[in-house]
Amino acid sequence: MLDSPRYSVLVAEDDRVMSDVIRFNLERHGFKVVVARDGQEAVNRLQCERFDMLVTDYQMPRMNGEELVRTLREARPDDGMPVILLSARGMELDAAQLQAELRIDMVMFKPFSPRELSEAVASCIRQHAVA
Amino acid sequence: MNLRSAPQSFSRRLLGYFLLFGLTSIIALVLGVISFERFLREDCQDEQLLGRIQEVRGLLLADQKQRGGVGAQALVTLLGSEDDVAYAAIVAPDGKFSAHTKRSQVGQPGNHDLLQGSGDSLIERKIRSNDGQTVREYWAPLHAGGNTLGCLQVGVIHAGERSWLCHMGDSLPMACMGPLSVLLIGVIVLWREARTNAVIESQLCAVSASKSPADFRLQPLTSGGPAAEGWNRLVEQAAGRRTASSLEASLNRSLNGMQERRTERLLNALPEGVALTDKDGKISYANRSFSILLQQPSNLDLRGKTMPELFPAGAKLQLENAHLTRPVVFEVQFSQNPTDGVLRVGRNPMAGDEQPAAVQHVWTVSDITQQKLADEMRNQFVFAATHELRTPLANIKAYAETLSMHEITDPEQQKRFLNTINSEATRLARFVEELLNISQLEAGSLALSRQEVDLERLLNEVADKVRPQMLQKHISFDTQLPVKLPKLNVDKDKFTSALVNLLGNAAKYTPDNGHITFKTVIGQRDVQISVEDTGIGISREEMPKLFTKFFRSSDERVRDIPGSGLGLSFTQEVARLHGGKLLVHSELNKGSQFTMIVPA
Repeated sequence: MLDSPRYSVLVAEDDRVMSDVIRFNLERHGFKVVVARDGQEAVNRLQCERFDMLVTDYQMPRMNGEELVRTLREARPDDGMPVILLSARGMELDAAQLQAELRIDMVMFKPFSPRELSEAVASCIRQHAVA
Repeated sequence: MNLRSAPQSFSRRLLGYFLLFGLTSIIALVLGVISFERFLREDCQDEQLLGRIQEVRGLLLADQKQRGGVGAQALVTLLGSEDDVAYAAIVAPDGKFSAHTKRSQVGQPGNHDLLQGSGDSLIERKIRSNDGQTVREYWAPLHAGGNTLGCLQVGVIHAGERSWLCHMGDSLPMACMGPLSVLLIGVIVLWREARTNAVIESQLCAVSASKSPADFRLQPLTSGGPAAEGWNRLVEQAAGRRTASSLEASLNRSLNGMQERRTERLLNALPEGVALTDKDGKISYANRSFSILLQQPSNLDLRGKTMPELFPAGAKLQLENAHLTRPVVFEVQFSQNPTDGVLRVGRNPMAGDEQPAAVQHVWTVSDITQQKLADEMRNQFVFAATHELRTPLANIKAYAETLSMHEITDPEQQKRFLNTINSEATRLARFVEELLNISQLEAGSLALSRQEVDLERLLNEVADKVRPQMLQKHISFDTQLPVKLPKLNVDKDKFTSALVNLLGNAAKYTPDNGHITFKTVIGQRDVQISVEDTGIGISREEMPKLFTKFFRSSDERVRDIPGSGLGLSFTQEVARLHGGKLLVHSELNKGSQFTMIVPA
């Protein structure tokens, strides 16, 4: 378990109930958590601050998760910031294609396990730190 | 006995005539030959006689010269003894007989007309004797060295019988004409006899030569005779049969025509397009729906055109790998947007056409635009429903797992987590309820179970249900109820759901800090319950589609708000089932007002 407060995670999630529980879990795991209410807000946050990890919902107002990651990858092509995409969608989302195209580390479908999310975030950050 | 009823058979008659004329001509020919032969022989006898006369003449001259004519009487008697010689005499130059077969005539004057000036040549003349016989008399002058002895006179008698034969023999052409004329008469009689049969035979030959008996019309015969009469009867009968069969044929034709017209009408009445292409892929038939579905002008003749010409340029006909003798079905879209039209096209080989090179195809085209749109809407609904179901479920799982995973000692936090789980479970239950209503609506089994309901209480319950949503978004919620409200006979659950839908929509599509008015007006005959908000409104373009099932606005602000697109159609259906209606007034970016009117 990484408990260094150095690692900060941006969580883009429009559903407050969900973002609360993600924040609770990630903070318990020692990450610094910033929540954005939609994709556009997340883009703004990313421009101002530096994050080690992005956890984003797929369906959000103003800018959805896919558009957010695309914007991020286009703005910083060399920065391989790890991304986990959460989605309540099912078959209509081509996860493998998105992962390959936008270099998304993991796609998790709702309902997901908060523990698995926390572990995945930790693992992604560790791998990125090693790389 | 009637002779006509039992005529001799043709062959017997023919044989009879053949024998009759054959034998007659043979007899005539034989007679002719005999008489000719006789004539020839007669001629020969005359020659001999003349020769004899000349011989005797020579002997007489010799006798005169050598013996001074003493043997003249003996020579004349000798000549007179010849057959056919009636008499013989010598007429002296003084006109008296110097010798005669009848000795009494010697010295008697004889006829000596021919003595004068005649030369050596033999003269023949015919004289009639006293007993009526024709006598040929030959006069042979007797000249000996410039000294005339007179003339040898010989009378020859022809028998009566011999005379007509000789006459006949004289006319040899007549002897030939006899059998010829007999044959000619025979030909004429036989021709007359055989003419009827010949005409019948020629007609029968024509019938056998023609491809079908109907092609040849039999002709009745004009000449009489039982055979011709019988033939005419047969012709009449055949003509009658032909009339009947031609009547039958024309009836069949007109029936077929009716059948074809009926098939044509039937094909034109089909909503599906039907077309037939020949082996070259050219259209040989297309019904009315076919041109309509392919958006071709109705007066345009499609025959001779090929299929790719008729479909829009962008449309792909998926026929590249299709086998000509196997059925193919594919879909053609007029543009990227399915609302512009989607066709299902089928191509089937014509039954019985086995050879790929000669196969004809039956094409069917049906409009599946509505089906496609409905499918798309249903898919959208399923996606939306999945999202709506998964979101509360994900929250419940996340909170429950977090509670069990971490040791949360703070009772306040525990309570907050449990409350969240509870409210998410409620959200899930409400959505399931909505889904159930929708499925009932879809199945058409939405029936009302009416009961007397206290309207004031019902409206307050509805307002209480949606109030938390309003509070969450800091929306001011104004409820205006009359002092006294009547009791209504409605389906309480459905009525409540319908009003919750309207208020829920208002809450969903009204931005934070907006305003919603929930107002009830009691009319003379009805109750008007209206929900007015300061929300995003509905565009004029989308207004007509508002109550369509699965319809969701394409407004960006709506896209991310969860919804099934069925709430309003459900509400409208509930109003309708209660004998009322649902009215809407809306202005984009200003707000909307929905009014449900039900009979009091």
